[in-house]
Amino acid sequence: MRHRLVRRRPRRILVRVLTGVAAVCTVFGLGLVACGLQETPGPSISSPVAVNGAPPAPAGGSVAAPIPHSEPVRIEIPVLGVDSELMTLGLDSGGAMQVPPGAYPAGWYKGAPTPGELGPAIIAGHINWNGHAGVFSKLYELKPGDQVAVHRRDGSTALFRVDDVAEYPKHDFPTKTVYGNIDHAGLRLITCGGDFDSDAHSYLDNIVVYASFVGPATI
Amino acid sequence: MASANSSARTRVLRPWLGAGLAVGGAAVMVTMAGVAGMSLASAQVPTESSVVIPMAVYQSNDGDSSADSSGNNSADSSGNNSADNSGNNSADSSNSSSNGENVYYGKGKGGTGGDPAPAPAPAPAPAPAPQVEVLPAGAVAAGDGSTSPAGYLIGALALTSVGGAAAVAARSARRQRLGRHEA
Repeated sequence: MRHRLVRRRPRRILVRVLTGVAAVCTVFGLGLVACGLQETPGPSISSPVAVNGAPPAPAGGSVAAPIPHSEPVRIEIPVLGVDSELMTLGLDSGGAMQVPPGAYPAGWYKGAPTPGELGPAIIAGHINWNGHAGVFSKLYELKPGDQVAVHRRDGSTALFRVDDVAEYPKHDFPTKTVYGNIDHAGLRLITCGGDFDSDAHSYLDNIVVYASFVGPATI
Repeated sequence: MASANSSARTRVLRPWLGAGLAVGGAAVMVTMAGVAGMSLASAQVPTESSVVIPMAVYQSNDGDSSADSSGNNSADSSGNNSADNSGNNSADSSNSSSNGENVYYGKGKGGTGGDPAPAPAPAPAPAPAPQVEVLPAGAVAAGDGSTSPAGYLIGALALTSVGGAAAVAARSARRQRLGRHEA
């Protein structure tokens, strides 16, 4: 009997160790869940406003001459698999930009130039909404050189090249940098980012993608 | 006798060994996850100086240009339209006292007349029309923080792991009981 008891001890210790490992894994998994539920974008986003108050210059390559006014109807971002219709956005009663009522579609701010016109065209979309990933849920993954296509009502397609991706605290949003005059046809894609403040029910940052018009083309 | 006492003591402590290891390990992992989360958060938010300083420079430039143009224009108009030199001097001195950048005009007009008249300040270029007609105020509220399907999936996996851990613990306890009976 004594010999048998001695043989069982290592197994009991092994079971206890396994139980401990399982508990640790559970706690770590719950931590990962807590982090994952915050939909936190990656930390590799730059902040070009740190250089000066002007918007980032177009990345390498040529910038096309602006094209006439025509409202946008659809946006495509091939590298992200985004293909969304566009609605029209105005201002709310507080003077802030309206946002689309759902995760889809994205919206074009009608107070700004149309994509391809001289100046910064502005398109906003949700990162998430009502339990669904939004049209711009992966916007922070864009990198300089990526392409964005905006289809217009006149049948043309304005092709843009990403110049930069920036993340700004909402309380210090650089309005003039994002919406200010530029010397070419540009595009601003805007969504939320950073940590989510559950008390304020709002994200702390905005992610802004700066892009330049490279021509009426197809992708 | 001493060895019997030590074996009895270790037998008493052994059931707590696994639990102690688990709790300690869990505490370490939670601490590590917390530290990692804090470092991520600090890496995401740009430093205050990197954001505020350029904006402050931009606004102060605007303020300077408006102040200069208004100050110079008023000094010129008062000086040119008035026929009385003393009036000019008084007007200029008041201007120079209120705005240090107008001292040059005061010297030119208050002299004996030998100095050449200063060239009129160039009219400020008209501001270009804003390409965005009405600037939206503040930031854009483009997200409600709601969970994505991926979040629900991760949550389900976590709950499954909790169940698995509970099952392992229950099986361990049952085996312990069986082992005692057999012994």
